[in-house]
Amino acid sequence: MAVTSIARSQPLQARARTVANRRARARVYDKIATGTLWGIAGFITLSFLFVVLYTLLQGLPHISWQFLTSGDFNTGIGLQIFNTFYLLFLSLLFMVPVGVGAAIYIVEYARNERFLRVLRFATETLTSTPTLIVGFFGFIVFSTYVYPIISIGPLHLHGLGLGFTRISGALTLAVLNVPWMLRTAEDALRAVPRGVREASLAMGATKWQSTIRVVLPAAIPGLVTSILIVAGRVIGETAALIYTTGATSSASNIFNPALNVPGETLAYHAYVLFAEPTQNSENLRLGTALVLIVLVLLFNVGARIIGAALNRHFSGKQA
Amino acid sequence: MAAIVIAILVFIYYTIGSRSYQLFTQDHVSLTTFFTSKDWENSYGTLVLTVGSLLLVAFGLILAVPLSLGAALFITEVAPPWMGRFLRSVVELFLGIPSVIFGLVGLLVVVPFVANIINSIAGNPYFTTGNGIFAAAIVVAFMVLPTITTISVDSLVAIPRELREGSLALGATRWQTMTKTLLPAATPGILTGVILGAARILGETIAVGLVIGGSPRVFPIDFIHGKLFIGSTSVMTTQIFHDFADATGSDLDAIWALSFLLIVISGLLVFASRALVSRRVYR
Repeated sequence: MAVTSIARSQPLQARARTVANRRARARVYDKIATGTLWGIAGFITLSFLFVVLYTLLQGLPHISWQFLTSGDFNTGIGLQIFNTFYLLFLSLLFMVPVGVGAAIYIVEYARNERFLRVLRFATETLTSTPTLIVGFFGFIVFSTYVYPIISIGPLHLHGLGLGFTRISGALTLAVLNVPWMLRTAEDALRAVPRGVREASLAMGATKWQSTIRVVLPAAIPGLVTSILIVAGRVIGETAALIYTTGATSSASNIFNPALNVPGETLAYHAYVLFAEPTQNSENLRLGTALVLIVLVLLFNVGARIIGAALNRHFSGKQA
Repeated sequence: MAAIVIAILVFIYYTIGSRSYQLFTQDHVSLTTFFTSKDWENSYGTLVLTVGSLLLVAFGLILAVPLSLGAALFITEVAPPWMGRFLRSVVELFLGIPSVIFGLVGLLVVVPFVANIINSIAGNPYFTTGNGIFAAAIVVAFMVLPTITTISVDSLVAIPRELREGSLALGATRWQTMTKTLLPAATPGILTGVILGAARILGETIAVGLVIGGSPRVFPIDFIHGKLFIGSTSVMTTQIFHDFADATGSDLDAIWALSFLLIVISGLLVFASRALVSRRVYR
């Protein structure tokens, strides 16, 4: 109170000076803050570069033709590379129809607000569920038979008992990533302009015809982007696979499409080499990490490039 | 198809939940012991693990939130458009990096770095190995930074131009506009990002497991050895992960109970974030 009254009683010039001072101080703060924000941006970019370059530079000396192609886990990761792509392919086989189908329903058909809210909550909860727990779910439902899943009186519904195999791993990966597939496919479908749908309907096509023959083809570049983003997540997943897909198997399984053999992927392999070091793991682990990060970056950068091309395509701008 | 997604979620909660109560019925472990005992290995007390997880979330967010908000403000308010797009791409690529890579960088870079600093302060080269909550928090902070940043960017972009222009026209500097106008207007959206980030930290297993050390006996708030937050310890996910391989009988029941606690907390976090979304003014 006293301070204000003194301030009030100050002559006009002095008050003008304090106002000017305050403005000057605000401008200095503004400069400091702007500098800090630039610093943060630089820091984040540098730490990203550090993570990538560190992995690349550490791993590079370990890369050789034999390392990349050998199916024997003592000398190379050929089997793990094969498993990674094979599990990715299998999981996409399950995931794409469900994810894209659900996205088509949400974007083109769904009118029930309450159902949509529940669905959105479910996808969000599923994407935030620890992947380890989804792995347990896969273990109970796909890998083992011993645990009754649901018991109603004398009736017991058991797991599928597929064992620690490629197919268990792929199914678990599909469960884990279906919400991501759904979400990204939804974005891809929403990116198709309204006019495209309206034109098709105006030509007399039914809703189903225009969805399948017009909207879906127009969304294909977007869907490819979304599949690539999800693929990047699938090949990086570790925790969900450890109790579902099993550890190393015989070198002869490289290029063998059998579903009922263990299917250790690159990410899983890298984790094991780091978490349980053996004599040989020193030589293998950094090379494995390098191959993993290169693949993940290829998928993600590929997704961005296709996404940008798609954007140009729809906005009608020429590059 | 859409119903499958909901069914999967219900099924996951059911399969884990229907196993978790056996610990309290068949194995006669009291809820009080489960929540308040520090002895996980003998009496299935989870206090060390739950407190560890909470501390990890708290420290991870303390490190990640200022960086994420700074990055989001930089992208939307300060940077020239091309540079904002560039940083956005960097952040989104960051999101794609697998947790095992974060784990290895944590193990080979962050842990020795923490050990060096603490040991030189303590004047004893063998004081700590660097494992623990602190190193793990640094690692998870980088893992959730992209999540919080992208959601914050989205909610800042959604603020109408007039709000910015009004504030600047009143003579506010850019920084004053950011702190007094934009951040308050974007708060619900930013909080959504922070909560989802918390859920991600809570559920992270692989990266945390590689750097945290893994002793379920050491309470993370341990003043006795002077190793506050820097001793090898364990959190909920890493302990579940570690014990599951050869657990049977009541050990296994305890893991189901702990897993269920974990997904209930993460489900509640998502619920809270959804509740905030409905409070957003600008979308």
